[in-house]
Amino acid sequence: MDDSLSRSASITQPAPWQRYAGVATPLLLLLLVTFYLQWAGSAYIQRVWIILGLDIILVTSLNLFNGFTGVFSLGHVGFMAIGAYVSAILTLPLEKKATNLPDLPAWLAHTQLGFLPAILIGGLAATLVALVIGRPVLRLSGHYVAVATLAFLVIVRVILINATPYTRGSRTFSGTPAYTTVWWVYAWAVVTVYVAWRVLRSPYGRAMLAQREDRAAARSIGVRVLRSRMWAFGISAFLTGVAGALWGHYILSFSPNAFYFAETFSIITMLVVGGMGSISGSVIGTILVVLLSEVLRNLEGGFSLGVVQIPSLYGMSQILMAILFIIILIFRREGLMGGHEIDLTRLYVPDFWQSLFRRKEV
Amino acid sequence: MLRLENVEVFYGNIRALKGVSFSVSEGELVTLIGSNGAGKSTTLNTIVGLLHPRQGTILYQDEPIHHLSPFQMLQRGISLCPEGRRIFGNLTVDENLRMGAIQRRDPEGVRQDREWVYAFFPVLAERLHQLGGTLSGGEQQMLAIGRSLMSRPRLLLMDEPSLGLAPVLVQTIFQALQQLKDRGTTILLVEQNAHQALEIADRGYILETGRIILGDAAAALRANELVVQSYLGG
Amino acid sequence: MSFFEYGTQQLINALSIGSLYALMAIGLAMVFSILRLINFAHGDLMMVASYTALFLLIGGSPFLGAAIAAVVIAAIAGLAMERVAYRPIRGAPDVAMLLTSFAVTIILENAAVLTVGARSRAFPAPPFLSTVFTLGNLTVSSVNVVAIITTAILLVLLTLFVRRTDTGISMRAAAEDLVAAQLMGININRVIAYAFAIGSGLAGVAGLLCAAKVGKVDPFMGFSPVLKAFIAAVIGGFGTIPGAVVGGYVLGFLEIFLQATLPGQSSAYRDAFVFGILILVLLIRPNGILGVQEREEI
Repeated sequence: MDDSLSRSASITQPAPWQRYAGVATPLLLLLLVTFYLQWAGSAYIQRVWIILGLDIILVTSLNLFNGFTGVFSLGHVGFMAIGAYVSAILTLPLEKKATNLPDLPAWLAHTQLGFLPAILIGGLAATLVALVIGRPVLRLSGHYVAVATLAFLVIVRVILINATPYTRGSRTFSGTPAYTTVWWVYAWAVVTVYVAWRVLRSPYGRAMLAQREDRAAARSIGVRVLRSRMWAFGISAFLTGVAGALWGHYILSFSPNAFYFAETFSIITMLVVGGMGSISGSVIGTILVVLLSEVLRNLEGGFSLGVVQIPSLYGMSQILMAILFIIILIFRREGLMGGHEIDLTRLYVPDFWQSLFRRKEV
Repeated sequence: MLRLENVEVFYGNIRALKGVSFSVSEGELVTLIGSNGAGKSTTLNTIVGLLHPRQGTILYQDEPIHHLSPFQMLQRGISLCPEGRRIFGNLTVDENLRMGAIQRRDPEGVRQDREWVYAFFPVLAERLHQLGGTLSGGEQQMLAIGRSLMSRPRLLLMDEPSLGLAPVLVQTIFQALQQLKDRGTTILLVEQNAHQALEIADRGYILETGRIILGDAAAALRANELVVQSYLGG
Repeated sequence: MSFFEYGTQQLINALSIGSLYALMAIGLAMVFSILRLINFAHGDLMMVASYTALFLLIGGSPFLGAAIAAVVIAAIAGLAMERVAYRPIRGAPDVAMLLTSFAVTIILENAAVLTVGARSRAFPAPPFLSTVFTLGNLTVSSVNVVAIITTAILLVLLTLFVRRTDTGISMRAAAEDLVAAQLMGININRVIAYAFAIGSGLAGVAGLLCAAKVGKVDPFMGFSPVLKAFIAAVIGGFGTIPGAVVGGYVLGFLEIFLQATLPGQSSAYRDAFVFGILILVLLIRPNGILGVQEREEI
């Protein structure tokens, strides 16, 4: 008996230093790549890197909610819109407010906030809305809740289009100060991944993940299901709102149409490619999809394939991504990572390398 | 006519049928008896193609059928009258019967079969244009049987036809089964009501937690001590 | 204008819009009832039909011919959709199917932009669809009248089909209990094909009427109608054809009512109201007005 105990003790929990190393590795990599790109990369590459970071925040925060509750929120981009508009209204310089938003109520017309407060308020605004609509909507099940969140998305857009004094309606909202830098984006990306990790990998999180597919089991937990869904919804909405705020201060001009179906589908594609419930999945899925769509978009202007000249086909990248999406749903619905995580601590555990070589011998 | 050989059926990772083997000859009425959860419904569902065995074969007239769909089974004359009746509540009695005959191309034969069904279950003829959902439990069961018969099956699989029915109705149903047998229909009957089942059956098998533990002539089973105690309330 | 005349005018408007919603909602309901699939790409079938008709009309074809061709092409497009995108994922969780329908929408809409351009084009409606006549103080557009009459005829035909023919009855059977339908030997693939073909054809008709009403077509014209049709179907009782019809007309009346009664500023929020009502219905009575209890499979 002692024998088996000591044997199982050697296939053990990684030592603390190994754990820290496992976490530090991707962070270090991130830092290195970002520095390098800022120093040596073209403006285009830097742009792609920032958009990648923003998408990572969006997809990870959606995954936080979806992975935790099993509920598919089709309206999350609505939170992005709230975050973007609220923060942008707050940071807009007073002169611009006078010209672009002449009908703002006085207390807003004379307010101008710094970036961080505006981001936080934007995120909190999104959370507030989430808590309000979450109570009724999260009680529903299956595709009913997906549809209800879709309705939310439409409602947000209609409100944005019609709240002209605040949002300029369907016209472009411009003049936002260019506060977003790659450092802001990736700082928040790290925060998001960390929060998602804590939520999804906590014992409670894992329990939710395990039984989210099992309606009978979930029902026996009863009221607590709604409460935990609300938590996840609120947190996820906050992070999505923050992403919206960052995005608004990067892209500098936007309209309600930027926060509608195209964006929703784009994020969902990244989520599905990576696999729901897996955080490394959302990161990897996002990277793949962003890179692939950039490549495709560049090819849209037409290119030559040896002797054949492919003409310009704008919109083709969208079609191809949608086809990819369908293919994944048909052939590998659980996504690339299948709900599992990449565990980098293993890189630092000697056993891992040994087992690699051992397998080759056999 | 029908032969199962070492059939293994899984629900996910749960092994529901473990090496089930038995056979049914043409014109026989064979009954599968067992307690709840023994795997009786699973067996019928597998035969008719709703489930597929992970291992083992099912032969019908020496043709392997274990990969076919229920649609193809019906083409070969195998029909399942499912557990819990599952009649179409939103359709009328008439429409239910019509659906039973949907694969048939002989209107005259269909008309004859209908007459037979009405003769044996006159209440169906009375309620012809009523919605299936408005019938009583017993009437629904009669409709379910009638509906299965409309395809003029050569092998009829019946899943617990007497479940939840008053004794008088149970009698009617077993009489109908007897008449069907006399007409030449091969029947595989799954029943919890072992007593009645063994009365009209030629042979029987006892199924226990996914395994066949006993198979014999019905008379022998009725006399068997163990069977009497466990299943006949002896 | 007297109240009676005003009321009649609005009644006609409501019936007309309701008819379009009903036609669209039926297609959604038919497919959902059998497959549990919410086909958001249904709206693009309107677009396919409208563009087909547009090109045929520009090419000099008589309207009737163009209309028939358009509806047939829409039906074929629906069948293709089913075969290529939805059959491979049959049995998948509901949300996966919903997402796939989004992907199909994106493919269709972008393909349309690629082939016919994103700008809207004028739709050359024939005279009988573009006349406006006055009866006393009433102004009635012929397209509204045609919409109401056409829908009524189609509804009668559909009811006959669903009640009298074997295929129609099989569809109702499959919608209620797919497994039992299989056990009866109903050819599920065939039933699903019919559901898509008929539903898509109806969407095609709705597309033509919409194009005539609005006067133009563009690749995204089906987007908003399908959302509204979905709301209609849910309100009336999702998954049943009578429910879709009832829901369509209820939504039509609701929209006209909101348009007429909401004070000027907030009538723009009419759409938000309608979607809010969707959420309300989902909460209070998810089975809609003619609610059908969904068989709860645990």
